[in-house]
Amino acid sequence: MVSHSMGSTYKSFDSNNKTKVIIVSVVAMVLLAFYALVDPMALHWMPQCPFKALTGWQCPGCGNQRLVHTLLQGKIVEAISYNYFMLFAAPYLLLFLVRELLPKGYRREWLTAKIENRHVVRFYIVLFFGWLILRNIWHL
Amino acid sequence: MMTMNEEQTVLNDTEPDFVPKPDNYMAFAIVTTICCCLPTGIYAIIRASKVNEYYAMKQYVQAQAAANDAKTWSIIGLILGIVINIIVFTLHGIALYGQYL
Repeated sequence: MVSHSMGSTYKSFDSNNKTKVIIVSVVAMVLLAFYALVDPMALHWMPQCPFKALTGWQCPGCGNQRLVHTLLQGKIVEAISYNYFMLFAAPYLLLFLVRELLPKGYRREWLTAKIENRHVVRFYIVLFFGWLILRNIWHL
Repeated sequence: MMTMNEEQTVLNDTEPDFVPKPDNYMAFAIVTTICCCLPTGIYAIIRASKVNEYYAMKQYVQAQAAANDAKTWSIIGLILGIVINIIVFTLHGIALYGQYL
């Protein structure tokens, strides 16, 4: 991508985009299938978050494996309780996927302006560190 | 003469009137913060955000540089996350194996 001129990057944008969406979808489906079948709490060999393993603290992403597993079993309230940060982060990330699926045009530009707004991005970063501190104080 | 022609072709190809906004890899950066919880992801998000700012100010070279940074640090975050996980996983496995000896 980088070595190409700007013009050729622009021309190959659509096909690149489709490849990206396909790769992301396949990886997501494999992971979903894995966490639907495997209970991360029942298996002692499941990888623990390195941050948690080294420091004993919960990182902002801790609990995501349990969250996905319980969510796929339909236990929505229990799932969210493993990581409340995902209440914001998951829909936010999902909007990026929606944006990728939108055709070029006004709606795509509009959504991009909203999700990539610098205040929204700053809010995400503040929430990330805020959640890191809060969950370790209150053991959330 | 040959180089002149080549330059002409390149100029026509790049369409100087319209420079497309570089992909800022924002989603990739966010994924690394959620899955790997590494500070590299946060840095990547900040750089990704800068892409739009520089592009709006018509500073296309800086925008491209920020986009490259966002991509690089997202990839570093992802690879580091996977490598650290493999190390922790292996150590955990060795410890478990040790218990059975």
